[in-house]
Amino acid sequence: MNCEKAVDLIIDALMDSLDDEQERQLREHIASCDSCALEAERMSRMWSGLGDLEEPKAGPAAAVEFGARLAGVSGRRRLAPWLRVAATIALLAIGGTAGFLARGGAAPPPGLTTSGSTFLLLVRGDVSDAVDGTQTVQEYRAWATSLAQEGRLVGANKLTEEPGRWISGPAGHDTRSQSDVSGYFLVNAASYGEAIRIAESSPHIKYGGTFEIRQIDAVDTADGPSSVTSGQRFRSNGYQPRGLEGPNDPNETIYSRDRRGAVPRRGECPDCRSAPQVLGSRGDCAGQECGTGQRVG
Amino acid sequence: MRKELSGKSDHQLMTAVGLGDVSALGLLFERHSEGVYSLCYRMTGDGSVADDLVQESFLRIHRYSSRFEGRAAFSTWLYRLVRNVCLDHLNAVSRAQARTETLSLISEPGHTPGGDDEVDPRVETLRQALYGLSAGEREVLVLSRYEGLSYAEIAEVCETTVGAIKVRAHRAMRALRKRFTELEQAI
Repeated sequence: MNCEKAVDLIIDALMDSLDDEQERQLREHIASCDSCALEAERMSRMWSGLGDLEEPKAGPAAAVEFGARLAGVSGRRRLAPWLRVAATIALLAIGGTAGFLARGGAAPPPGLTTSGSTFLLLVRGDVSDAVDGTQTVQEYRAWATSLAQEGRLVGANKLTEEPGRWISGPAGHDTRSQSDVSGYFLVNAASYGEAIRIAESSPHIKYGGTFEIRQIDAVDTADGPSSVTSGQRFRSNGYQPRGLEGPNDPNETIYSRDRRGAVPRRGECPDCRSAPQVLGSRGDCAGQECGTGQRVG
Repeated sequence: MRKELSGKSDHQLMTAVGLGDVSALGLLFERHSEGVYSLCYRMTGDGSVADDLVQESFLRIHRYSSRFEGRAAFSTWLYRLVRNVCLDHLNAVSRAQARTETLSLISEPGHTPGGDDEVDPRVETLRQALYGLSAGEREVLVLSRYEGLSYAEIAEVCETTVGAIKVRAHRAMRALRKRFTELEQAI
């Protein structure tokens, strides 16, 4: 046996994976090779030393009486690790429900408005006082279903558990280990007051969680609404890009972004953005940069 | 409901989880979260990250409960799942960044569990050497040294062959030995 093979067997021996014959061969080799004998001693000390590395501190469940936690008898703060799981599972369930409903799985009942503004309900924090995880999931689901049936729920989903990416400054990529944002709901409401009432009716608030509520600002700048690509999602909210009023279908090409990334206004050429006054007599574009003969409106 | 479940095996609890019983998942959490935390900690060397990975592991148990068919032992399935959670995390942070962060954390006074206690510099060197290995190398050593798994069991967890694990173990131990020696000489 050469020394290379002997070192392999030393490692196998440390990992308790040596059969009798291999052990005999290794012993014979070490007895006649000082170098491998020294290597065996060093590797053995190192392997043993790994056992001296500190024991990890007890995991979250080890520090608490889990039964007591679920019963809400003690340790409210210590409830968090498990219940964060329960809350996120609830969001998973809601995400599916809301996604289905928002895609048209259930039509809003007649008479209910979908006009007004859209609000983002950012799910923050742990819920900390649930009695039963299954019950919690059902409550979240019932709440989301109710919102969807009222035509208020635009979308909902959970975020992945990894911490995500934080970007700041020219080269500031950063990965952080903590974020208390775990998901979101998009709801239609007439005002902040109504959005707050919707949030207050949720089990997330009932169980001590937090919503950050923000109104979606459908900005219509010179570059057009930043989110509009197909118009479909915004159309369901009653949104129409400025200058595109009328019965037109937002999905038609005429509404799509021009080559500069902006939504053309009524009367503008989608290619060169020529104003109406430079359009030709037949409505063709007469702009110097273009001449494609297209126009909007 | 929990009382009814308490006498159930892990396998039976997984079946219940698959049927949507969150209480069963709670019992599994109670039984295994400490071990999961330990493995996550050994793989990452960071207690707060290990806490997060425990959460992610149990979420995945819930998410993938329908995939547990009972062909493998629950412990093997769980090891496999936690291993994937750890590797996903380690891959998410770029390898170079992970090493830099880990080493800088290690070098911070007070980071070492035990607080103000005097730390054997040799043990600390060994710790640095261990966390300087790639995730793939480290996991074989962790599963063998701390979880007591055989080559065959590690192969099952890692879904590869015994031969591949053996080769990886040999490479990992040699790398650990080399790195440990270099660090010792640098002191």
